[in-house]
Amino acid sequence: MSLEQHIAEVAAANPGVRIDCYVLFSSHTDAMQMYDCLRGAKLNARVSTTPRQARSSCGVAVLVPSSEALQVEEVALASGIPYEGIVALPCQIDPKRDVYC
Amino acid sequence: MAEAIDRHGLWADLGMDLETHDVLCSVLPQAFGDVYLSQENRPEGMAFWDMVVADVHGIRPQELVDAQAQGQKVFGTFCTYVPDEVVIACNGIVTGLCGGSQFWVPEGEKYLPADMCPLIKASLGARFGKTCPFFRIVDQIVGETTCDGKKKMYEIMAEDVPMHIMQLPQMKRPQDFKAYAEEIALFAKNVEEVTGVTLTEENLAAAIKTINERRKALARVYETRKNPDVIPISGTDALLMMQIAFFDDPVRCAQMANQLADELEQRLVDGVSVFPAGTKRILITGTPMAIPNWKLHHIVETSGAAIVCEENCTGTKFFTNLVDESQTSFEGMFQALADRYMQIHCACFTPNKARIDEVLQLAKDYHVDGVINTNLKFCTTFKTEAPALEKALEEAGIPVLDIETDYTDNDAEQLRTRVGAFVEMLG
Repeated sequence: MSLEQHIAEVAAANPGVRIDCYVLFSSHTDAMQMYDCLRGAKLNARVSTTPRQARSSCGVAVLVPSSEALQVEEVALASGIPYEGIVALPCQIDPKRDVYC
Repeated sequence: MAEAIDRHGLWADLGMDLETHDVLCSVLPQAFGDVYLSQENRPEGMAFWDMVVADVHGIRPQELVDAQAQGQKVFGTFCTYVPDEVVIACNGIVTGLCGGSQFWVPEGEKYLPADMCPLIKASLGARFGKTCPFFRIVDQIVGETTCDGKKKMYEIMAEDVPMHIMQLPQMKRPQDFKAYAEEIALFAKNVEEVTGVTLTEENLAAAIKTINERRKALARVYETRKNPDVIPISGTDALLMMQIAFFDDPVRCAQMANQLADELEQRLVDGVSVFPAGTKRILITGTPMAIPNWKLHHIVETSGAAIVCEENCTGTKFFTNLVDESQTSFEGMFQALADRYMQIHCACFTPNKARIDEVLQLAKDYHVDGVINTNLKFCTTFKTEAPALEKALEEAGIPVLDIETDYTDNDAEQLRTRVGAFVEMLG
């Protein structure tokens, strides 16, 4: 399945909800390199924790809006920086949830 | 689902309870996202600290384990009065250990009274529950005689891990400054024994410079928060930088804080603020906020106000005042260290009017509209001095809100109501 199809599928399953994409890595150094690369390309990348819905353990991810995901994929592939995949998820962020750790 | 990054080997080698620890790991991403990634227009420089949190039990712990393999020793600390300089001078590493999560509290309550502050309970719980790698890595813990709760907790923790306790004077007479210099000299002997490295005037002088550089860098970031018109960084972000400063490498910490300060200073020039013009400016004072305690900052900053200064151990107390670098003898340097550390105004001291004076001065320097005096539940010393602080603030015409809370989520809605009303009252 292409990234475009994956995002469309997640969006269809979550109508009315913003879809975010997480670029996943096997090392934080790769993640930070990719972050710098994407920011250099003027894309709206942010360093993030890896959501449990994307992977079962902690780690550094790069969060990008789904609207830029295809460009992100293009830049990521061209960069040669290793990454494990791009996972689309319904927005995981809720500032009024008030659940802390 | 993608393939997992495997830190489990590291954690297993440290003797951690992997299953329970995984529960903690599972809640961090959501809390971090809600608090940090919901913010708009954050400084680019925060990417470094976001990375540290995203793998908080992986990146730095692995560095510490690698350093131990090279013969370095790791010292765990709980207090801003412990002089990092002595450890650094002997090629040791300091890592702050204060527990800031409710996750660790129930384990701590197995050994401690429930009516004890959550920071103390969480700290013991993290060690005994084997759910924090930093607590497993340390070669020795350095306690100190600040509050009664910590003193008694150290007795229990000492059954499980090597412990050195520093006797901190609780008055600030000339003889107390001298006594703390002598205590630092005793600590230096202990550090030499643990590390196997001899303390010299040269390596101590170099370490004093290193830690002073960290203080200067963190102070630069805070300096930008004094601007009355532009707020270049949220209090929530500044808090994260401070929390991580306790366990990061001090040279890297200074480097990253200086880079952030460069960006924030440019934001002041460009007029880039993370809050709308007119947002009410709040100073937080009181008990420390150990990582990942972000609750109050998040509630305040999602209730229409901005935090522009923290007068606590995870704020100005950590970096205010430099150690005099002109001393060349051990005696002179130990005294210079004592003179700097004894200028921290913790509620464990009596009298402690200097803290009130400092809060009043900071309120002026940071152009605050109001002060929130926050107290971790059962922290008797800070709670007892709250009325005097509030009276002084009221006399100075500075509105103040007193909050007592802990690490649980239960009071979040009540806090939102109280903070919201306070902000509204500020006009």
